[in-house]
Amino acid sequence: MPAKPRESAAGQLPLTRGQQIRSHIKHTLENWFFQTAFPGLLIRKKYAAFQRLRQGDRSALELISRLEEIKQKRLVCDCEHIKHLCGLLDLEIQDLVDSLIAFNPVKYALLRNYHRKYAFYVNLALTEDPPATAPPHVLSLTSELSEELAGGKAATLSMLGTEHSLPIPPGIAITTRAFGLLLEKNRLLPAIQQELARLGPDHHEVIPEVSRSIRDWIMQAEMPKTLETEVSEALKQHGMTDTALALRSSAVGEDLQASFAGQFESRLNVPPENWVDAYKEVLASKYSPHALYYRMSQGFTDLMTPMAVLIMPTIEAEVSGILYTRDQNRPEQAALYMVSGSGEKLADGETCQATAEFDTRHDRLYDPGQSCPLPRQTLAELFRFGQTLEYIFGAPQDVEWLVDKHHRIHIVQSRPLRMSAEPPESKETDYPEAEVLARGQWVSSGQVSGRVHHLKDPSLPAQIPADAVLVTGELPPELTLVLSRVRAVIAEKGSPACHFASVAREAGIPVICNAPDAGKLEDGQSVSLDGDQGVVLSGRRFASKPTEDGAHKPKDTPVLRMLSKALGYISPLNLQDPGGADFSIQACKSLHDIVRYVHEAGVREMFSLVGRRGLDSYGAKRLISGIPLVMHVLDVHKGLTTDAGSMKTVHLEQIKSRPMQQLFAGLGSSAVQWDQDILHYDWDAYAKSSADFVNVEKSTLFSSYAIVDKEYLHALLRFGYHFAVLDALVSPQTGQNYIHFSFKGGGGNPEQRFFRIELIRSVLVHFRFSVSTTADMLEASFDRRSPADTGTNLGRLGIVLGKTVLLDMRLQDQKQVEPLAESIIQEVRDVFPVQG
Amino acid sequence: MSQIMVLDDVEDAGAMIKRILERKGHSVAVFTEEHQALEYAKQQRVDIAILDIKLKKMSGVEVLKQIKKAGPDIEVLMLTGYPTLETAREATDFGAREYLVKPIDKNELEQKVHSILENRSSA
Repeated sequence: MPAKPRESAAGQLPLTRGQQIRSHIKHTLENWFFQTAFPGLLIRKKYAAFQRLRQGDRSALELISRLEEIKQKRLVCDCEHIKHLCGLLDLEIQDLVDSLIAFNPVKYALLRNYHRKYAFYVNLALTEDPPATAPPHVLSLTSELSEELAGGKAATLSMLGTEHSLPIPPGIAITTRAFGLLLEKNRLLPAIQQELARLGPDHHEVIPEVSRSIRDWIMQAEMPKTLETEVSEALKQHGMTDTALALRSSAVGEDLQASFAGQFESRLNVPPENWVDAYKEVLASKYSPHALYYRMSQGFTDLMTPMAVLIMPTIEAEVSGILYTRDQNRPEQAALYMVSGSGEKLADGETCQATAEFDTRHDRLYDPGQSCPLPRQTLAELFRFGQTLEYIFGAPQDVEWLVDKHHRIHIVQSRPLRMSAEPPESKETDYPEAEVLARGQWVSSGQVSGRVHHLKDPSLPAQIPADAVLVTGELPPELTLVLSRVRAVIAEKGSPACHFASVAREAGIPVICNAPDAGKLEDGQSVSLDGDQGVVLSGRRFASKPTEDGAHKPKDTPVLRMLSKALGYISPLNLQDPGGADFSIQACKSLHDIVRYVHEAGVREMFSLVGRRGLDSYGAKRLISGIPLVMHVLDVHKGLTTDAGSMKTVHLEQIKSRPMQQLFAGLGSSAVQWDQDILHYDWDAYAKSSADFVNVEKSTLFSSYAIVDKEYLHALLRFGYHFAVLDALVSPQTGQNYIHFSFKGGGGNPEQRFFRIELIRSVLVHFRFSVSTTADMLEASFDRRSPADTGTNLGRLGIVLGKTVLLDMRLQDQKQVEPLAESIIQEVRDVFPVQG
Repeated sequence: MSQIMVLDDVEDAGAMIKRILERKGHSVAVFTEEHQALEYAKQQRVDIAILDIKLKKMSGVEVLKQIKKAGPDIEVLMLTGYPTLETAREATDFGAREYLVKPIDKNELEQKVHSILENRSSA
């Protein structure tokens, strides 16, 4: 049995000591074997790993930036989408680490532990408890209910009934645990989460499809038998087996942290034997397109808002309505909006039959007029209930109520009333000069300008222009879907006491209703809307607030907090200086650091790809360049034209590799005067060669070489006694581009070699290379610049190389360095001018 | 000065934690055997117990339960080289305050210990 890897302070060691030694020997032997038998194959293998690494680097950085964008712009998306992106990032980094480990299994093995560590922290930041399924599944409204079990609406109603003896209807709550049980028994949760993961910032296209799938699954779900029996028993105990039922949503968060007004559906007049289907319909409404959008825009996850359902007897309403315990524009007044019969038409923003107002300071009811269907006594009682509710909750309330045929009042819902944050006196309220295009009634405060857009289909928000002032017939809750794309809404009908009104106030979008002339406004017409005054004016008179900048989005939401925590292990870049001593695996403190480390280490591995012995027997082609330089080229992918395939030599015109072309644009430029009588190859090695005779032009033993693909070049340049290694990538992706260059050797005494290094350093620094030198070795890099800048600097480097070769013994004195450097810089600039 | 106890069957991990935390002025006792650590927790004042999840004879979560029984006020920081969401959740359910994943990072360890102690003093 193989020994188990042991653990240390660095975590589970990926390899035991024995495995490390075996792996190292295997790696070395494999390298030696391939280098000897199939050298081209080894290079291609390493090159393929490097390619994977480059692609992975780009994908990982893109994913990191998408996650950062969601946070910074507070983009509306589902948390499952964020988890999905983090999952993809994890896989990309896994691949990156594997690709790097393919270069050297022992050296980079520890990177796996660091990846595992930070990927785990990201998962932990985004993880949520699965839905609870244990009893209780059914509770009576006569007991005190918690929001966690019974949802916001039921918890509020039970508290009003049990603690304050307010008139709430009798009933039961099917708890959030029952919902969890239904999901678990039907194994729906993973499928739902997979669908929700599709709701990224560009969710508009897919939200109807996602919604349909999830709602269908819930409707088709089998009701757990135990749950069905338990609810049926509870209905019997509460005397609800021979009366029509009303089923209402009561999600966690609803009416408390956020209004969720009108987002979920209720079912009224349900025959008692049909309660199961009605229950599933209310549950499914949690996933309607507008409810999904609203939850995401408020920054809640699906699991944070589990659904409980209230079952009550349907009370036949004589009159139904909404009570605002404060009027937005006249805080000393409360207002009642009402309709005969049930209140759906009022709540759905279709109509309002009558209104009544109450002076809260003097406890006085204003004359409600002839059309009011309720007697003054009932109106006064309703307003007093409103005052009690405001006292209980310590804030203005939005109360749903109904009056039955015995004139008894029933409170069916109370939630915080959203008031405009801006005091009315700070705004312009009088427009004597302006042309008034339409007048209506306040629904939500604010002053904006924009262009008229008549809404055709709320399910197609992409068709709405960015600065739309939306004109619509009524104010249904489905409008929530388009809220993020509009500056204001004008409705021809409707009422301030509808569900959509609450949502618009929450989002800070100005809305007016009952504006009959709105239909006459023309698409594209510039208008200004004052929500408080209920007027639509011609032209643009208010500062336009952009609609997509997140100005009206909540700043601190549970999902943003989760994402921020996860990004703490994803984004920070601690590995700043690749040349620094702390640029190590152990210094990685985020996934971004790991991506950076892998990239740099991969580039370094490619930099030392072949070694000083060169492309001996690699099957490379001899380059005919017109420059007296013996050079062989190995194409790994599309670096040469297709006709070069069968030839033993290749001409410069057949080079397709962009960095190679750029390098030779410099080497072959007019700034470098080559002496055609001096052939450049490794003179030193040739002199020491034991071979009796070697045709240096055909042999790869002493020649320069280049490994090329379309965007990549790895070259060892042997100019007599000089050696330069060049590794460069020139691609359309700026973040990937780089030039790494090292130069060593040359003729002359140590002092002369030092002067030469100084000279190259001066010129390269001038062209914005980062340069470091030690003794007679120079290393330079030029990273993450545009393809044009990278290409140009490769050409400049070509000139510098050519000039340096020709200088050779001429540098005798430090004083010569500066003027010579200046003269070379000028010559380089003549060929490759500095832009701007 | 806080009393910190470390239980990790890997000697170098315990030694490293001791070195880091003693430089911060804490008093640190290191154990590699479960029963010795539990005995110590019963007899001595311990502010924080740092427990590895994978031990020789018992699981770290089992030790966590027993430590919480011996001293409900002892704050526990779980340590692991092979993290899973299940064990993290289980450890949190049984009262672990923090979760530290190997490779051990000096700053991260210091910061987690500091935050546990701060929460403790403000509670």
